[in-house]
Order: sequence, then structure tokens, then C-alpha cells
Amino acid sequence: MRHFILHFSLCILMLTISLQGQAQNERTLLVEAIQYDGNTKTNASVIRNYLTIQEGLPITKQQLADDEQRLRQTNFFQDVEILIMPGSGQAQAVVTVKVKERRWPYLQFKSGFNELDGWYISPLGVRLDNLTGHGNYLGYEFLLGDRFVGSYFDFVMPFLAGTEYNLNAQVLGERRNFIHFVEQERFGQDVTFAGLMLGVNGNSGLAKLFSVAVRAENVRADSILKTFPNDSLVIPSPEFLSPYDEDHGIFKFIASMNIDTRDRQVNPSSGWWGSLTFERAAMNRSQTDSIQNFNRFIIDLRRYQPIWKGLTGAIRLKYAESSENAPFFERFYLGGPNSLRGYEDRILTPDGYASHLSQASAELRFPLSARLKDKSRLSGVLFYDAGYAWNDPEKWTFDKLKTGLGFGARVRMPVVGLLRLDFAYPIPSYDFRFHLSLGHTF
Amino acid sequence: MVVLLKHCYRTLLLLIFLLLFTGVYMPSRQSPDITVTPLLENDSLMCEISCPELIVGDVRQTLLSGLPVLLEFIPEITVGETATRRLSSFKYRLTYDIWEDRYRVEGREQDKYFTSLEALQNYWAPLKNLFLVSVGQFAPAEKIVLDVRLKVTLLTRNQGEKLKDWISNAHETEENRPTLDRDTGFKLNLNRFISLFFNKSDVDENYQSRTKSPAFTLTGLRKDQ
Repeated sequence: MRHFILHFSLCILMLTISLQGQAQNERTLLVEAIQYDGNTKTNASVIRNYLTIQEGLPITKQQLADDEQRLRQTNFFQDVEILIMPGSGQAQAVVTVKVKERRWPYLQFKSGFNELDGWYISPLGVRLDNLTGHGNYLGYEFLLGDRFVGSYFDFVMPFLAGTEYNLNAQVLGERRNFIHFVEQERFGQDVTFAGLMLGVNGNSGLAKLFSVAVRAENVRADSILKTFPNDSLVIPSPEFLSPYDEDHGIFKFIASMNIDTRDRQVNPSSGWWGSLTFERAAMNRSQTDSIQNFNRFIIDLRRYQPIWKGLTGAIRLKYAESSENAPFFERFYLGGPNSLRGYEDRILTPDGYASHLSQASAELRFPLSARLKDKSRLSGVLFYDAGYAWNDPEKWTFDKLKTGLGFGARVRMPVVGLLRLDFAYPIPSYDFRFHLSLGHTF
Repeated sequence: MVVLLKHCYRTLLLLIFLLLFTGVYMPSRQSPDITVTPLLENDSLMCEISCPELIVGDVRQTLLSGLPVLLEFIPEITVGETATRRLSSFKYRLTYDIWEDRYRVEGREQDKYFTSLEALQNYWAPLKNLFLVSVGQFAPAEKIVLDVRLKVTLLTRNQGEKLKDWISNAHETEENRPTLDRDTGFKLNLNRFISLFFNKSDVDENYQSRTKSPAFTLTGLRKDQ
């Protein structure tokens, strides 16, 4: 395991170092000067943090469009426009960044699909981003979903003290419903979390690879299980879950290394995405007045490969491991629309969740319409998933793998994004299952 | 003190009057001069429109900023004692692409490209072969007056473009935290969405010029050619 982690880390570093910029075939102009207009509250240095263009360096049309998009997406301003005019010399340009300051907080509506918690909406969030003109994020949101409800205050200070590091802080309170299968019956158990998180992550250069965080929270699991989703039957929590039905304080240290060379964050067609995470936690068990330490490792690697014209191959490999004494809400599950398609959510998970998880998926993605200019608006997928979740002293063997295959459609909707419809079949029973969610599976 | 206040008062009054007069008599914008020359070609009344100073001032500034300029020549004719009749207008869209380093004129015919402001300017001095109307309906000796109005619109970011941009651009969110909870969704800035429909700050600027030809007859035009 240690050798595997070392080799994986070296791979990520090598991939980063070997990254080369895309060949520039577009015309370039030399930036003679950059002017700022309309920033009556915001420091020009805040705007500069989100621009890749610099005085004296060449720029391309795409770079300018990307910079405007990036600045617009900060939501710091009511409006952003980057204008370019000829400079004093041949092939030179003067760039003007024109912004319209935001004077008031803005309201945000959010919705989506979370792998753990299902569908959710945030009907009203309040954002006070860049309220003082220093480029900080501050906001509150209330989330309501299939299997959870939560309240979150978050604060982000990007480019901390002018460095390439962001400071993140979050205060949260949430109630999540964890699914268990007891005697083939599906039950839900509510677990309440309340705590705060403080972290630092890089936003550019090599620093972008790394992030660290500490999290302190109080956790309490319900002492009863209810049939999901209609609560018709209530049973006391089984013995393997009962140790967690009192208040527990958990202090966690999280370190992770991430790489992202995808050409696009949403619907990528080429590149790598990889992540290696290590967590070390100490849980105060009030029942026994003792400290229980546990660890977690998660390795997730994805590759997107263009094959021919609009055809893209995508592969995902994931391995996760926790200490055997980790509580169930810190362990792993298998089965469901983002996990192993063709199976009911969590159904492949052993009692009390799994301390080991291995998972692999392969997809062939292709456009379904040759006439559409933007081929990603309607695309199809053929997929194959495999995985196994287990606890010690069981061992992984090839014949224990659960597998499923199927086909799907992806429809890009305005605003909402990519709607995913999967028609999946577990092997060998081939009992059809339909999954509906947002975004690609990985 | 009283004398000082009285002096200030008079100075202030003078300034106010000056500002008022300036506001009344100073032209709000320098509109380009245009001239029109009617021509007869077979059975068609045509014209040439000349705007030698079109690409100056705000028009030049807007073009070089990468924003479009819309031109519309609106011809009207008055035949004899009859009412003025408006004819089909000639619309053009001017843009400058700094990346291609060329100016583009989109009109009814094929798009035209120019590599310099001077070449673009010369295109309008004069604009030739503009069809107005067939002459079969007019008596040869009837007096005709041709009136051409030029409307120049300097576009800011088009409201429709902003809405399209808002709808199609990434509100999608995707978080691949290295734990189990992959999250895909979208978020909307409600203030921005509402402001797209109620914000009146992005108003396109426009102004106009006008010219009239001297009265002419079809017989007179035939003799001149």
C-alpha cells in the first residue's frame, strides 16, 4: 500500500511537471497597458488576481475571453467587460477591464445532486462576496434535500496576503440520513453534525496541487432506524450502530494532493483528474470517555481520452480504506447512480458500511446528433462499472467483484446543466434500473 | 462680508447663465455631414450618399473598442405636391476585429473588409448604386426632392447578448471532493437575473444627420447623364 501511494504521488507530480501549454496557433497581440474602469470599491489588485494577461506579454483572443469569464464568475461585480483597443504600435493593444461594482449582497438559488445525499435545493442563499472590495467570499446557505438538511456559513479569503493560497472557513450544522439494509429492508438513520472547518488550498502553480484542513465537529446518530423513504416502520438501531447514538466530538486533520489537467471541468474530453487524500481523526467517545483514533485514505484517478472525432473514452479507478474502528459515517458504500449503476443505492455495502472500497468505471461517450453545433448538448454513453466493498478480515478477490453495464443519454439543459439518464443492468441478473441525476458520473 | 457675498452671488449667476446657454446652443454631439446625389439608371431612381467624416469621434472610439456601430440611411421622396413617402432603408453594421486587424461592413450585399480606417472611411465617400424606386410611376417633369436621414447607433453590450451569455454560460458547479460526496449542480445569481430585465443603464447611444437634395426632375437627370 505504501509503495502504491508513493508511486501514485510521483505520477501526479510528473504529470504536473510535464504539462505543456496548448499549442498557440491563434494571432497574439502584445499588451501595452492594462487599464481599470469602474472599480470604485474594489482594489485593482483584486481584479488582477483573476487575470492571466499581463503588461508586456502577448495575449490571444481565447485568453481574453477566458479572463473575462473568470472575472465574471467571481460574482464580485454586477457586470464585467474586457475591451481591447489598438495600442500605439503594430500588433499592440491596450486592454481595459470595465467593471460595475456591486453595492448590495446578492441572493443565490442552488440545486444539484450529491452522491451521498441525493437531490437537494438551496432555495435562498445570501452572498456578501467582495462586500468591502477586498475580494473575499462570505455567505450563508440553507440546503434541503432528499436525505439531508443543512445550514452553512462559509468564508473564503483568496490569495491570502498576496500568495497563491486561499484560506477557507466554514461553520456548519447538518442532519444527514444514512441508508442501512437490515434483513433486506431499507432503513434510514439520521446523523447530526455541527462544527467548523478551517483549511488552506493553493490556487495556482504547484501550490494548486495541495490542500490541508482541520475540522472539529460534534456528531450524534439517532438511536432508531426508520424505513426509507416513508418512515412506516421504526426499529432500534442494531448493535453494530448503537455505539454512535450519543454525542461524539471528532477532530480531523485532512491533507490532500489533487491534479486536474482536464480541458473542461464539466464534460471533459481529455486530461487527467486525480486525488490522494489522507485523514487522521480523533473521536472522543463520551460513552467510554476514551479517544478513538482512526485514519482514512482515498485515491481516485480518472482519465479522459479523445478517441476519434467526438468519441471520448473515460476511465475511473478508485480505492478507499479506513481503520476498522472508524464510525460508519466515516466509512464507504457501494451501489447507486454515482457508485455502481444497476444496483440500488448502498445495497452492496456490508453492515455498518465498509472499511475498504475498490471501484472502477469505463465509459464511451459520443455525440448523438451530427447536426448540432455544440455536440455536448445531446450525447450518449455506454458504460461498465465494477466494484467491491468489504471489511476485515475479508480479502479482495477478483471473483467477488460486482459488475454492471448499460447505456445512457446526457442532455445539456440551459442553466441546469447536464441531465443524466442511465439505463443500467447488474450482472448477471440484468434487472433493469433507471438512474436520473445531474452531471457525468465522473 | 455682504459685498463679498454679493460679488459671489453675481459670479454664480453668471456661471449658471453661461451653462444654460451652453447647454441650449452647444450641439449635443457632432453629427456627420452627409450629401446625397440622385441618379437615373435605366428605369430606376438611384442615389449616391457621401459621408466623408463618418468614422470620427465616438464612432471611431466605439469601433476600435470592438463594439459594433449600426448605420441606417433612411430615404424619403416628395414628388410634386404629394405627401412624403418613405423608401426602403439601407442598413449597415460596422465592426472592427483587432485579432484579424480588419474592419467589416455587413450590409445587404456581400460583406466587405478593410484593413485600415482610411479605407473604411473612403467606402462612404461616396456610397454608390443605391436603388431607391422605379421611375415608371412618375411624370418626367415632376419635381422630386430626395431627403436622406442617417441614423448612427453606437452599441453597448447588447442586452440580448447578456441574457444569452447568462443562460448559456457556466452556472454549473461540480465538486469532486476526494471523499465520497461528488456534487454536481448549478447555482444562480438571482439579482443578476432580475437586473437583466429591469436594468436600464446599458442604453445604446444614437444620433442622426439629415440632408436634402435640391429639387430635380427625371428629364433633368437624363440630360445631366
